Amino acid sequence: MDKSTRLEPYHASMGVEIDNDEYEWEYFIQIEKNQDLITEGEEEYYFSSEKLLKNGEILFVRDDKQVKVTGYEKIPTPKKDESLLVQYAEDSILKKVIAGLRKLYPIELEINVRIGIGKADFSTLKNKIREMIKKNNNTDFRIFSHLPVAMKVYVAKNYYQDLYLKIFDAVKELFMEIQDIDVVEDTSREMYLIAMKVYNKTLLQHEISNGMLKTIYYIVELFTMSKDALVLIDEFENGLGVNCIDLLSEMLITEREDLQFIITSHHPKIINGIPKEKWKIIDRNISIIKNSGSMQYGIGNSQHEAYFNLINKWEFEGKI
Amino acid sequence: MNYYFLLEDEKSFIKVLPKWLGYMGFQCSRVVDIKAVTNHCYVMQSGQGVTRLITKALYDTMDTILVNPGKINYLVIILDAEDELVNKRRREVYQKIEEYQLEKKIELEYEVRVFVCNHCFESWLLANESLYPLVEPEKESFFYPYYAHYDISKNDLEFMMVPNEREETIAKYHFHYLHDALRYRKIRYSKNKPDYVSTDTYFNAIVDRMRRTSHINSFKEFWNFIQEQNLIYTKK
Repeated sequence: MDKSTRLEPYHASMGVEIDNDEYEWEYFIQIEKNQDLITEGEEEYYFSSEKLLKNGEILFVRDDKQVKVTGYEKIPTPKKDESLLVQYAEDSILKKVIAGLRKLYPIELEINVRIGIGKADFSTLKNKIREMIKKNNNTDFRIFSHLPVAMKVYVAKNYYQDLYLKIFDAVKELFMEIQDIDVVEDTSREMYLIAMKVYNKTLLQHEISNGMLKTIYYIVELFTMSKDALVLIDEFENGLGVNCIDLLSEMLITEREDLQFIITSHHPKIINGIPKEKWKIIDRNISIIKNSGSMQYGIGNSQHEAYFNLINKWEFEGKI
Repeated sequence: MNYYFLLEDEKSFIKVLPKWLGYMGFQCSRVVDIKAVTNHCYVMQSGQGVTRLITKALYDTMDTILVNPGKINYLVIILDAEDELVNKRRREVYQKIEEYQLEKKIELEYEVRVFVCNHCFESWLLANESLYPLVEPEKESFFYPYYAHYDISKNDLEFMMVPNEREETIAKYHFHYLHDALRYRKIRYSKNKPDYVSTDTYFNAIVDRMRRTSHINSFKEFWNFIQEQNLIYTKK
């Protein structure tokens, strides 16, 4: 944790469902002053209590009196400033829930859109994938869902035609001029890169604009992401062209009903594109952060677009 | 009496107008939206440069008033003439309202007033004569070209055109004139922070100009409207 961040003691709980089992994880974090001679007075955060339940039954629990982990009579005292989920990550009873929580993975497209796949890595992966599919014709695409975007495009194009067509159609909806998307070798760099055919000319990844590439990456991820994933996207609009922002937000909420998105945005087109019932408005006043639904916040008292109401409310309150 | 003000200006006007209404003795209090309207209230909203005021925000406002019957007596629309003629802009708005009424088959249970700033909100602000330096600025000064182009203290602002060497709209030029006239006096003006022009002293200088001269007619129309509204309350 960034030590410069001032946090009040807080309480959090979350639930995940994995293979029909419901897991609930709950914890309290408190602050204490360090007693160390040198660093005395510094604030330290620690778990004052924590528990993990599976279908209502305790898997582990700790508070100021006890630490219990199901299946063990006695366990050594764990570290106070680290979750038991981390400390017992290798234990068989926790592996599943950790895998579930790890579905919260960030799509760091800003960094990745410019990166290709090294020739050697690409060949190894390509061969492995070919062998896997050869062994089992019915291999589900979802086992490839964690691969880099370029690799997924390669796999879809070569082995999952229906999926590739879905991706391609969606891309065409936004960029009519694209005739083909592929992954090709750039011999001068010994890299495999995304390539697209536009007006009969092939453009390699580094020749494609950032906004277009980012949009294509979002589309590939949207169609290939593992089932039931929870996707967090910060500042969704960053780098996207105004011509595709609204269509892309519409795709996100209509194409895959199994996915759950938590998107932050300040962009009018995105805000208007997401039904206001699904908004959470995060408001910060110095160190107090509040979140509220749109109705509770007073958006929706008129027939105007939601963003119009939002900015006019802020204007009325002197926030902008 | 309740009023719904809809403004076109991006940001500055909506920050200043509530204060001006106060200086004009307007008897109503501002509320956040139509749901909060009771008696003697006004709602004031603007497209803030994000939404098209004519027609999108206007039609949405008409719908809003329609689903909240009996709440609003006046819909007041204030927009910029930009490079158009005031009457043409005004006619366009009335026409759009009429079209929408016909399309939706609705009768208006409130009155509509359209005011057009000629050419923009900053043109009204330029009516404060003290902006024009009494002493001629040095020729090298950034303000000199404005000073030499048009004496805003003597001539009607509404007739100030763009100098030949500048390629911009009249409204943009008026904004730049105001911005640089204030900068010349070491005052920062931005659409986001129009504090200096929202004081009663500044406002009274505009009103004084309007009374003494035949200038800023477009402001005068709006002023007269508010005075008429004030009279309704005085008669009561």
